Amino acid sequence: MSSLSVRELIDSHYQPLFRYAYRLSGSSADAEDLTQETFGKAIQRLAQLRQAERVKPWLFRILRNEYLRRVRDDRRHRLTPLEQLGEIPQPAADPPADIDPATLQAVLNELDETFRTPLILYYFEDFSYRDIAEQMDLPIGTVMSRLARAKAHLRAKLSPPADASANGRHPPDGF
Amino acid sequence: MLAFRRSDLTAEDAASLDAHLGGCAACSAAARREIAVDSRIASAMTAVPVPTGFRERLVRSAEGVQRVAWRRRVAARAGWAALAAAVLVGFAGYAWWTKPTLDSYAAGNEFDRQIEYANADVPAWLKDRGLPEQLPFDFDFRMPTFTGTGQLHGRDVPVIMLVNGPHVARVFIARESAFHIQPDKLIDAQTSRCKATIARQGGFVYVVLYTSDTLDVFLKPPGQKA
Repeated sequence: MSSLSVRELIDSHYQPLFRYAYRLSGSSADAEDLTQETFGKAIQRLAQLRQAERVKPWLFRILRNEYLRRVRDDRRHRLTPLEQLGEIPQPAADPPADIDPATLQAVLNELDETFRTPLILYYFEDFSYRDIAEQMDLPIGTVMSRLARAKAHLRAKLSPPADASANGRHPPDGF
Repeated sequence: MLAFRRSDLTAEDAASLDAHLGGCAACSAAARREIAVDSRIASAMTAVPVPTGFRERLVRSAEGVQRVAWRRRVAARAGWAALAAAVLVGFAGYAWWTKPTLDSYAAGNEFDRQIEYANADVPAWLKDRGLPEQLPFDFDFRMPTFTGTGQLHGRDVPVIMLVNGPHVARVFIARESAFHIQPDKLIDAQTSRCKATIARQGGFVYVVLYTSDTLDVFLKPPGQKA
């Protein structure tokens, strides 16, 4: 790993790390800080990385830990544990072709981190279930369960509302 | 069926899934729809513009971290090196200061002292080993005398050695309990080079081997006898 220069490390990973940090934190400034802090810590611990091919999940893990450390005592965010939602109804239609990234971020911000992280990793960086489970120190079954619920919630929130006058139904609410 | 990503499936499972999708129109349509929706969400998920100049700021920050880490490493290594040097100098100094100076006059004085106190040193040595301080013979320990352990019939026993001119005497002090005692074997004897004199006292057998004609040359002169 020592053969990998810091510039190479930054060039290869700063963009996905920033995007991940942004989707986790919902703020560009926080995402910059998190990414910078991640590289700072990674440089100091570079000698601990035994497998160079695992550098990407290693960096993502450092970033997530740093994010969790920052928000641990921060109760400003209103989070929705999905266990409280019960059954999530199937949306009447699929999400539109052009999903508004800001709307997507607003939906992500509503989610508890334990659901948001696997969701972002799933859609964002093509991590396998095993990678996500490893990153979050969770059994793969738990990751699958959380992902299934988080995906259903996300789709329900992103899908256009059904015609209320036609069937009397409303999209899932109360998040 | 769609709970797994293809990358999480084994080759067998992937083949089985493909076979099913090939023959089931409903599942095939559901899979296509699932993939299309996932693709749309993934596109939106990654549509995050990276701020201009962010890479340069990161590189500058990382270089700063590297400089600090390098300084810390250098400082830590310098600290350890200084400590090691101090320990080395300390040991070298201690060895130098504690090294005795060879001095013939001082060595002579030390030997004088040993001779002067020899008659007291040997009883003290006996006492330290739990042996009777009083020997059955009144040896003159002012002559060169050595104390230690010697082998008697393969057993380690305390021994005192005295030297008087060309003659040597060894006094082995054996516990009776450590040997078979047969009176016919415990007699004064003479061999080609030495004589043996035996004395028994207080549970100990004193075996004195000497090269002179008589044991008297190792005893105190008559005027000095205690």
